[in-house]
Amino acid sequence: MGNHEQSQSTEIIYTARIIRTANPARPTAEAIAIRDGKVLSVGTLEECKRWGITNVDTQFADKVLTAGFVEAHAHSMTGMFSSIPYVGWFGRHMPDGSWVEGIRSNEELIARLQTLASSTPAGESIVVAGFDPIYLTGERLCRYHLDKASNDHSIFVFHASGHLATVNSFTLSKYNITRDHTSPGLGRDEHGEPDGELREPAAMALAKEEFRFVTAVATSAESFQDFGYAMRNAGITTSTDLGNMFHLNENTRNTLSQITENPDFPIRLVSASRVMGGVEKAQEIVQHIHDARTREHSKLFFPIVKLVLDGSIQGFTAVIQWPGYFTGDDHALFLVPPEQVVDLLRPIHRAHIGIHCHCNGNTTSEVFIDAIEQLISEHSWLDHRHTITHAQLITTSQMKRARNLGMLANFFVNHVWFWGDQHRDITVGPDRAQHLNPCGSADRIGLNYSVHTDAPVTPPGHLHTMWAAMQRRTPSGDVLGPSERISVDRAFHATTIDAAYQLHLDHLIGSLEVGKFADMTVLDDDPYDVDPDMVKDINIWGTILGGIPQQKASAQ
Amino acid sequence: MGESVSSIATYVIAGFLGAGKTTLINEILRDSDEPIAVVVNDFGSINIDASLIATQTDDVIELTNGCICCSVGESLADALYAILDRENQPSAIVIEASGVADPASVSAYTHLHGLHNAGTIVLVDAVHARAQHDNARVHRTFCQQVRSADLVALTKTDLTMQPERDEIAQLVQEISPDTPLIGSTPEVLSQVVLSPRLSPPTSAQHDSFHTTVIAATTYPDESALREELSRLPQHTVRAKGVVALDNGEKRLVQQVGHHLAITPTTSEVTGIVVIYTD
Repeated sequence: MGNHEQSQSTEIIYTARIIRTANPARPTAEAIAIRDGKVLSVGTLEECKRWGITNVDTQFADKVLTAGFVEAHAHSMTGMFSSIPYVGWFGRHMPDGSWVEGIRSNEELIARLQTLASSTPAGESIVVAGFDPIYLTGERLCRYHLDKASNDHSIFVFHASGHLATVNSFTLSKYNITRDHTSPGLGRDEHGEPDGELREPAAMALAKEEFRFVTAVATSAESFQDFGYAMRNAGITTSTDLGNMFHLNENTRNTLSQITENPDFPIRLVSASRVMGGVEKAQEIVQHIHDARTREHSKLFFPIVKLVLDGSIQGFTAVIQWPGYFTGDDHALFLVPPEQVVDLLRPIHRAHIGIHCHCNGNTTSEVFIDAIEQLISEHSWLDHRHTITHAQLITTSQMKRARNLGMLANFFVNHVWFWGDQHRDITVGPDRAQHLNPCGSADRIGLNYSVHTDAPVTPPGHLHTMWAAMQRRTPSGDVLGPSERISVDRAFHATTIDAAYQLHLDHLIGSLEVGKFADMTVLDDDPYDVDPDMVKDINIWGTILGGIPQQKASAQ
Repeated sequence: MGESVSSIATYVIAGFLGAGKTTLINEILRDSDEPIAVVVNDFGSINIDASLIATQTDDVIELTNGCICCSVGESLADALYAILDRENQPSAIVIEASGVADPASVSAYTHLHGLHNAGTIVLVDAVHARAQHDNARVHRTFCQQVRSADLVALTKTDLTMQPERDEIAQLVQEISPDTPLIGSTPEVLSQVVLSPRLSPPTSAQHDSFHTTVIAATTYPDESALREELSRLPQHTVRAKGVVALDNGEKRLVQQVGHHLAITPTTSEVTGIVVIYTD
């Protein structure tokens, strides 16, 4: 801890194989001089030394330093996987640095659960999360599979979609869930018996203790701390927790400020409250942000809020324009009445607070763009940087309107890899799948954007988003929309300075320029120099935050 | 079913923004002579008379008449479990669905242990219903809401003429032919929801309500009771009451439109009050 204070006031020069600044006016450098945690000079070693600094640290001489990656759309529940075992299809790094292999079949899941059961006292609950059956072939998971793992524990498998949980027979008995139960969210077998599937939170909540455990862990202080570690491990120096509810009570507000202030918390945090409820609530949030801003410090910021307008494309709950979904039933779901959006956002826009609005579908992007046009004509805050986040199906004409209105986009470009094949074949069909998260079109139109992981929905880390935006590959071997691919330089800016810009923080972070925080990502190789397909595989050493090295956790 | 544990009747009130949900909830809180818990999205819009507020925290307002008003906060499940964890249990819970919610996804929560589904009432704004129905963006939501209703209540009928009301009634009937529909003021509606009384709700300009009573006879068993209730007038809007069974157990009967809930209770036998229209 003391080390942090000491280093803050220390002057130091780091040298590197190459430094990528994300400042087009001086894109590369060989050394960086740091004073008080900020960039003093970035250029040649000679230039840096002219400030009279003799303390030259060469530990990164063989590494590549880049402007620290900035994540404008992730969630602090990413940290929950240190308390709740991860059982997703793709292998993933945990907050402690350990690697967990992906689960590729029901049998593998059962084996993992058996191991957990052997170390859990009988009668206690085993809760796991991240299960993603969209990739699995074979039988759908039900209680009979889970019963093979244990009949002495309650087992609760929380799916990656967040819409489903599967429980074992022990859990069903524990809550007296029998064939007579009336809940419409119960999955049933061909005999009408509950099969262990609990659909939507209303049914998941029937398993009261296990469900509450998941929600409590997701919002706990420990998970929050682990969120910081998980992001640091992935090379992120500033992350947004987009759409949290920390404003709801005084305790959580204090927790937020205490955790982030601790030198052990390894990232800068952008905390964005979720706008929910009616117009009065929106006004309360404005008040809360005014209060919260008095507690801002160099690692905690409240520049924006989040509004969610619809669901997801793969859940068929995004609200999309004609011709609608390619296959499957349209379950389009507005989360806020479209006619209320302007009223809800008015107090926020007037208070000069940035708005990031979740719009997966193009009907909802249109609703948001309409609302911003109205608000700007009422109140001319021109530097608003209001951002359409996800914007997965945004049309070219919507992008032009957004550009004209000074709006920005934050594309969920990882979808092209994680669900691209499904979007092409199932959800939106070949035409629109080609232009899902249209980075290339946005560049041609002149709409500025960032890209994001939405962690924990996809794993944190921007080397993967850069790669997804550059290559647009899908697991089946397709290149989805070659014309939407972007260059490594564009992808690098989208994950650094352009993300900082939409958070209203580009004067402090996002590039290595004199006066900004000395935040860097430390890589073994240069994304500009490796085979584009290898960008996602570059090893991350860790980060440098305010001049202080933060080596990623390693489980070994 | 079968276990003699009483559970709390839980209603869902849905409808578009401006359809009158808040007005109705205010009315319910003010009128109720039983302790009711309402769960709302936004405290601010409820506008409870300050003189009625006994205590207030971030999540719960307690009223002097024993009612409580809870904010949904992080999740509806948490809000409902918090009510179930309270020392003084309410006699009923009313959940306000958001203006765009699918009422079915909200009423799914009424199956949590300790609650039972007492029906969904969807308010339809007689002035704006046609425009909402014709608006491509919200057409699906409008139809979904009407289809999920056990009872549709046409509101703001005092601001419309009879031909318009008939047109909206027809629109609703086309979407959901079997759902009973009433035109009603918040005062009447609150009475209908809360505790149907023997004196028919007064309704100067709209439907004429009738009431009848099924006397407090003792039924051989639950199926005999169901048999009796299946003979209720076709346009039953609401039925509520407590009856006894031969085995000494008692049952609370609650019907909203066609939605019937029969649940074990320990309350006094009252007979069943039925409200219906022509």
